[in-house]
Amino acid sequence: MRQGSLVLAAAACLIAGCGGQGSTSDSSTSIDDVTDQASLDKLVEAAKEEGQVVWYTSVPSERADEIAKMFTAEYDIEVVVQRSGGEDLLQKFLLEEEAGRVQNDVLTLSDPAAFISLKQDDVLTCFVPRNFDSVLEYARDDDGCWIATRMNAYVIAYNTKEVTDPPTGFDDLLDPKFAGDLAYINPSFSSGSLIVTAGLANDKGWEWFEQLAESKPFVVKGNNDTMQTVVTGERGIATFVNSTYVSEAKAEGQPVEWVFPEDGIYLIPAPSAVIAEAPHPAAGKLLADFLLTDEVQQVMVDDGNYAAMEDFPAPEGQPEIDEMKRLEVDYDKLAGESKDVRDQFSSTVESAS
Amino acid sequence: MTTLPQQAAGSPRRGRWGSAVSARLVLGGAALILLVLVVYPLFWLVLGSFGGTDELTVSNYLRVVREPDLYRALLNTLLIATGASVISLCAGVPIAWFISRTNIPGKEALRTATSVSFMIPGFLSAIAYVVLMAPNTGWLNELVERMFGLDQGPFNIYSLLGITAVTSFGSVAFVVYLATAALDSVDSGLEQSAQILGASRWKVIMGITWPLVTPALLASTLLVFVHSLALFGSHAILGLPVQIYTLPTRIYSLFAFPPDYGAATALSMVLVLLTIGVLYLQRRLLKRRSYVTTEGKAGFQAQVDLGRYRWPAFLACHGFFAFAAYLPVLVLVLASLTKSRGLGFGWDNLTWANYRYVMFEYSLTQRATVNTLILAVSAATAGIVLGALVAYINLRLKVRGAKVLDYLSTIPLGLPGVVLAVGLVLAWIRLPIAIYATMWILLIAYLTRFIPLAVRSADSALRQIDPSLEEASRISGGSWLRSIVEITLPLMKGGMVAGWSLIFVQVIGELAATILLFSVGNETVAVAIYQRSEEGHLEEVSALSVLVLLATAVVLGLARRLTGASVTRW
Repeated sequence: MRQGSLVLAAAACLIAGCGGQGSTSDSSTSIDDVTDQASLDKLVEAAKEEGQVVWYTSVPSERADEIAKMFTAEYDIEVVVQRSGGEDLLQKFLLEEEAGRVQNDVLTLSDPAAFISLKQDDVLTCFVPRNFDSVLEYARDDDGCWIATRMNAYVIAYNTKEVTDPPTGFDDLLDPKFAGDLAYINPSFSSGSLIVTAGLANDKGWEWFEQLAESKPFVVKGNNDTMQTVVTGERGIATFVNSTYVSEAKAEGQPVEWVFPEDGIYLIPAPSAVIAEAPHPAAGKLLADFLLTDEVQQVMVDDGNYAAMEDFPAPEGQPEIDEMKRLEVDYDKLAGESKDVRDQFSSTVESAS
Repeated sequence: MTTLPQQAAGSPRRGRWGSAVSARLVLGGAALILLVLVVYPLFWLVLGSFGGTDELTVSNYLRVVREPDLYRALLNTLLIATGASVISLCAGVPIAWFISRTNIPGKEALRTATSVSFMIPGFLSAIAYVVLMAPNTGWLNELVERMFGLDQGPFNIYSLLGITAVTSFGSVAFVVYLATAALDSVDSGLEQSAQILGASRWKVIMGITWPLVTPALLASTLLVFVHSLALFGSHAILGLPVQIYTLPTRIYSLFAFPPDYGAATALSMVLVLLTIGVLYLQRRLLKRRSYVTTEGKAGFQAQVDLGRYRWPAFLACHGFFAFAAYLPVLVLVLASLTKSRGLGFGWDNLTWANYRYVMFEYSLTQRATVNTLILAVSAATAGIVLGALVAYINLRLKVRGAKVLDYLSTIPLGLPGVVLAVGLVLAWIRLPIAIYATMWILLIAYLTRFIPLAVRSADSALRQIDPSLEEASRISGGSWLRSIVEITLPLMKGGMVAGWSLIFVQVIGELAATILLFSVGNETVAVAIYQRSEEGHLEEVSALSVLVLLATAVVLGLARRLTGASVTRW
């Protein structure tokens, strides 16, 4: 009997990837916030005993690897980076969480509405890292349950060979002269698009989409497909796309240009959170804390993202946050009605086809 | 010395008794493994469709049935699957016959082209066809526009016809592989006798050859049909932009956060029912008669002289493969050599950098290659052995319930990858043994997902073999295992190699389940390709894919050479 349960425990340990000794988890739970050097030292000590941190992240792999190396250089703790598309990672995490076999310590995605739901389900550890107060106010949960690591700006993009007179804003996009030219990302397959769609529905009303439907938008699966469609010229204009994809395409010398819509910009926080049942809770917090350091934030800006912390310059070629009109999205509301938004979108856009 | 006669008298009896036990052990073990592999995850899915462990309800089904889009999606799915089956049969059957039975020039090239058409991952061939046949910018459209001075080219890949064609290009190999294997094992003496008796060549083909390979044709049609039901990648790339929904794209959209597992699994049951229905039809059609064509002696293969039709046939086959294989590969190769897709062709846009990157700089490549090779070889080998045993139980043993095994072993093919993957996670994550987050879960996933290919290949091969051969061996004292290993298996070799190759190739390209199940350290080549494509580096994706295609072609060529040599010796 005793032996059996021992074997079970050992097996569970193997699956969950137990790192350090049993005692470490007790000491780490006593650290709630990282406010001063003493609490940081204590966290580092506990994290080192755990020896490892598992990071599920949708940050592009080169960036993720770079950040992992920086963390290991700083704290001498190994980072296991599981990089994948945001939707796939969230799926994997939810299944593991549901089965009580959480594999990762930190989760970094680009969907604040998902993190609001995860917080409601008590899946996240809430804690306040060192630089909590420097994080943009609209990019963090007040209790520290999730905090943005970077900000995604959604912009209009167009093919410079195909479009000579680019649209200036969301209303302009509906001009009949752009009919047949628009690509739109499907909110059923992309969380970024879901947020922008919800925002547009709120700011412009569903009438905007009824008009959009008349110009027969090409509804693709994600940021990538949109860029592909615009770069090749199959469609001239991306209604909106994550600006990092545009800056990368521009850097490659592709014939694309961006437009920062006159209506304003959807600037969406891409949050990180520490998981409540993390196998390495202290190391997880330490990594989450590390993501909000100047070095890591600079990596984000260099990669074409906006930093999540104040006082960082905008990524190259993009307007400063102070100078832009930022469009708000009610993520709390969206967290409860994402299915309705998706259904409304598909019925509106399909009805015209 | 005096005890010798006694021993001699006793040994056959012991042999037979031991034989029965070993037979029961091996076959029972195979049945058990199949049940665990398929039924256990399926159980979790069915449970999920009825609301999970807390309370049982049919509300998911009611919700799904009331969905007005469901019927359009169902219709589209059926149209695509039926169309792909028809195209695959119409193209695949003549190609198989040319390869197996005629003096068409360049047979090896045809075999390779078949494999290549099968090896290109679905989403990549969809992307290649976007490059070729997108209405405004497709190369072929621009070519036609320039040649005939048109404003708009004739092709539109974003259409039901386009999706169906791309789907069939990826599945014609099911027909060619299985039909070639079957034709190779039919003794052409039968055909010759008929000819000597005065039947015309056409009559021989229609009256003798095709009826004899019916099991293979039905099996491969079933594979194409069911395989097409569950595809996602190409349907999403070519159908979604123009609001052509299919069941798989509807099911995938239900996994968006917050995932609606109940509705997704309930909707998947429609596909399960379709799979069962198609298999039932196939069994009914095969029940009517025996298809035994192999009586043990070396199959004598006479070649039909195509005469003046040799080169037209050659052109027709390669004309088909121009679309099914050469053009998509050409697009991939060109893309892999360019710096940037928006810049057009020109010397200043050419580079080897993509190859250098994926071979030497991309950290995943090496690890993923080793993992994939291990997984593909073990899944294909274990799968085909298991498949052969299941087919044997179904066809040779008069056991109650054998039929059920046959059905169960086909269902996984009709499930979209993500659905099966969710079932696998739910099933295997709970065990107190470390299977989840190891290579084992991937091996289990591949076995579960592709066991249908093995069972259907082995089934069609076994139907051609006369059971009396094995009985003869056993009557003359051979043990059950020995009769199987020395008589039946070698005769099934063609079908087994075909099944092995089908699984091998599918494992290399498998993404839907892998993406949920891989963990750091056990990435596969498909994951490596996906990562780069997900981050938008299509040129590097093309380079990596070209390398994977080459490597896969080499392994398949080797496998055919190795087994081909022993077939002729046999």
